Amino acid sequence: MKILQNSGVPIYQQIADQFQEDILCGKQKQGEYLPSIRGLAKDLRISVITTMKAYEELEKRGLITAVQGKGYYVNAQDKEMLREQHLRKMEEYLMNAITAARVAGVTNSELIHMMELLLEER
Amino acid sequence: MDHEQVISISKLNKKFKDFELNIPELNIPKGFATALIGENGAGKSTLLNILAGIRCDYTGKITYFDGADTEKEIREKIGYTGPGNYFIPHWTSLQVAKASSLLFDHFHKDRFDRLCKELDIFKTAKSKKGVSKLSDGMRMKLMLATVFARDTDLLLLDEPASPLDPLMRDKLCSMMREYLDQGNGEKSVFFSTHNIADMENVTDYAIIMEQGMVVEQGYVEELKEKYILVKGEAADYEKVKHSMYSIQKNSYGFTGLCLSEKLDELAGIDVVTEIPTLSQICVSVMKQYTVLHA
Amino acid sequence: MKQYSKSYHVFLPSSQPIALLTFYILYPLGVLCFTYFLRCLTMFSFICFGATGAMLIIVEGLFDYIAFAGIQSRKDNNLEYIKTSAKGKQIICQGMKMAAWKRILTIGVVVSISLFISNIGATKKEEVPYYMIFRIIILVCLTVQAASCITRYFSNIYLCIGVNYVLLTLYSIVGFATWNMHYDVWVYIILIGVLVGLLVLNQKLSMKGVEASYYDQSN
Repeated sequence: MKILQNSGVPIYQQIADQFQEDILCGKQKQGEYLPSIRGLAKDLRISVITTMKAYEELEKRGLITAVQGKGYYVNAQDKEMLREQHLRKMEEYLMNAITAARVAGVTNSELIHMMELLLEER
Repeated sequence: MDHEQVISISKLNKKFKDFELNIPELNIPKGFATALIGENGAGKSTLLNILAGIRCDYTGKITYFDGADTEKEIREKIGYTGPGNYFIPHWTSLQVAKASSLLFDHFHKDRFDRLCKELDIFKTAKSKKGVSKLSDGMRMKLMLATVFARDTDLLLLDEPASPLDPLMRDKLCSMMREYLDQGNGEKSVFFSTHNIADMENVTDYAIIMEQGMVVEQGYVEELKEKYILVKGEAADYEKVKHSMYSIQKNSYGFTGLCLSEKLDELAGIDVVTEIPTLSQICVSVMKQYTVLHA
Repeated sequence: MKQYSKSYHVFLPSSQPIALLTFYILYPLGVLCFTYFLRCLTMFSFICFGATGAMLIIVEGLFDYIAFAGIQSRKDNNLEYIKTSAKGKQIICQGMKMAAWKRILTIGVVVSISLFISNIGATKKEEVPYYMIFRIIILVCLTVQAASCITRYFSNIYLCIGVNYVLLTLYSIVGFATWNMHYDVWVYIILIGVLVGLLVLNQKLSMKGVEASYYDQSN
């Protein structure tokens, strides 16, 4: 897990995003318990409230469930939700590309052209 | 976020000649590390002394843990470190251990010896050096070794980081996280500091004190959402002044905190926003209340 | 008993075996050796005997300073760690009681043996009578106890030694002046009563000082 202190993205969100990736690509299996909030805080050398917020975020996203006294375990992920997540990520990356294009003064048609070239390469 | 409390304070008041500690209500959450932040003279040590039971002249009600423990049980469960006249000056580490076994039921000498070695307090294991001959940093390390060698449910630490070097401060943060992890939600830490930057990475809940009163408190993540760091151009200073919680201007631009609910008022103005550090929040809040004109 | 002596040792520099050895054995031995030394210098018996008392007063005053200096004042007296424990006051109380007992015992033993040393080779006229043991024990205990009631307010060693010297002078004067007088039984009863009173007072004042330190410190 790589946490960036000064990236502008809150730490709890970075943690949530990285766990989400692990869950969606199968690294963390369904039914497995994530590390305890205090154990994780100890390992990452951050405050407990940050890891707690990260887990609450993951719970909000429907990826994990809290069990009183035992911790948080990974939910079963359905294909629909997975696709949903990936689509959201794509949208984010595409928005970045559009913003960069605007800054550089690249037109929409030029951008689409670049996209097609890249797709052909892949 | 709503969590159980390890300490509930109600209508706490203590008057001094030219100072008054006045806390109508304060709850310290259980299972977390809470930082008490304030200037020198804000009342932090007084509050900690009262909670540790070494100052008894106050009015108000303090409830510890679930309220069912006797005074003896409460003192047994609390570990306190403080500045100044803590140990009898001629004590050596052996005497500290002996006295601790006498004073507390759950003092583990082997843990104490291991900690003394780990924290490199004495040059040799059976040092005959008296406590009074130790430097401030060494004395704090000895105090920490003593409280961590006991089985406690609450640590009250009065400015533990102040006399420590950066390496040791980092170690202290690790020790605190380890303590919380072992407790699994049942153990808590409450420490005071006038330099939050060093302890920011271990702080879960922050209480900011000024002139004997609590002026701001909250979970760190919530505070970081309540206050937004805003930076902008010097030309826009007048436009944003009244919307900002705190603001500082120089020839290159302005920097300040804005309450997130007021962020909309800055729409259309060329600003960048950032998550503030706890340190920045504390400085801004304290500035609003301090008599010191910075 | 073990608890009491452990409590007492909390206040002494007891981690070094030599310190404990000094407190319990070397110092009484030293006082007796000095008495013998005086006797060898052919000092009068009563001077040797009286000198024993004087030394005991000074040394006991010093030991009380080491253990409990300043405990009766409400100022910071290095008891913070002890006060964080619920057993703290009990430990302090037991420690002081043990100190008082040890003091009386030491004085009793040393004075008794000192009489025999002082009487070595003494003529019938010069010899110190046996009932002096009892009298000197009581006088020395009274002096030491009175000193303790006063010196425990201060943390300054010179002040404490000073008070001890003043009271030592008083003891010497009283001792000399009444040497050849006969003490009636009621005199002894009164003196013992005063001694007991001072013991209780000392304990109470000290515990009161400890209690008071929990309250109103000017910050």
